[in-house]
Amino acid sequence: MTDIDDAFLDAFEHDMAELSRRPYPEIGVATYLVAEDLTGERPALPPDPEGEALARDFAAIIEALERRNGTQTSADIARAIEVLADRTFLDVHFSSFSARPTT
Amino acid sequence: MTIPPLTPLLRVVNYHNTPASRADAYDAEFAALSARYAPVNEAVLAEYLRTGTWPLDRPGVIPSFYNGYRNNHDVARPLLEKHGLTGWFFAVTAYSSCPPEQQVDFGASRTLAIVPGEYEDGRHALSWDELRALDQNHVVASHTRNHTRVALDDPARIEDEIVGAQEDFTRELGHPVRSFAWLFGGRYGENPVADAAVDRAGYHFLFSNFAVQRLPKAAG
Repeated sequence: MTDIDDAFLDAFEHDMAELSRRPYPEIGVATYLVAEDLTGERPALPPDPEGEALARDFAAIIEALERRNGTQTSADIARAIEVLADRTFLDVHFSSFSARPTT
Repeated sequence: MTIPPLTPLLRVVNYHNTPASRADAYDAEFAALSARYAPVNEAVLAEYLRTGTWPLDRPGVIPSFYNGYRNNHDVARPLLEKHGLTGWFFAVTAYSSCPPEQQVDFGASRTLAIVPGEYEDGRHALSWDELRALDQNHVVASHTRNHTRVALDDPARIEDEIVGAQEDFTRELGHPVRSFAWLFGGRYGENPVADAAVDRAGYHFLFSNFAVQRLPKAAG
């Protein structure tokens, strides 16, 4: 479980702001989507271990952001997922690729 | 807003325009993604959502390309294939059917961004020939007919955007597409009129801002 102290939240909010300044129409944006089966053919999809750990961190981060800044909008939540994905998809921040100079 | 559960999760990278000026970045991104993740097509997604068990020996990634831009075919497609990834191309059918000389105006009124000076012939949208080519080894999906904001209490417009797009795909590709993404990331279950149109169109998967949903119509 990630230790969510003020320094962590400061860095997280810094990343949220930095990512929001990117040229979205021309870059790849890593994100997580939740898988849902609405057919009713089987019980709800079981959580995957990595997803469970990420979900715990995500919920704790959003709760901490709400304590600090008030209610988070859907845009705030989407941006928070984006930061998590940016940090966890690869060994480097995914956004580091699009930060390179264009040709 | 209610905090959405983040499990079970799928990894997606969302793109829109993919201009040649950024090809080096896409190349590096696809290389890094393919080193860690497996390509995902609709059969893999269907099996996962049907069984609850991931069917591949590695986790997967879905590079998705929204709005049906020509540079997705010219720039992203060869790089995806170089690295063995499957792209999901969410096209706007009336944009692909629009005469090239009208595409800049078409896009300007429908939040479709143009890369200035990119194509001298004025065609910025994927052609139907390009979509048919993408349909061979990648996933072609629906992102409405016109990419225009529609009042959610206007059944005729909703029908046109959701079912009309599927009619276009069926006519041009020779088969309906299975995946749909509504504008601005709306989910199935939020609007009964839109849900009914999605059902009539026969889509199996709906991509929204926070979820990929296997739809009731996909049962059986």
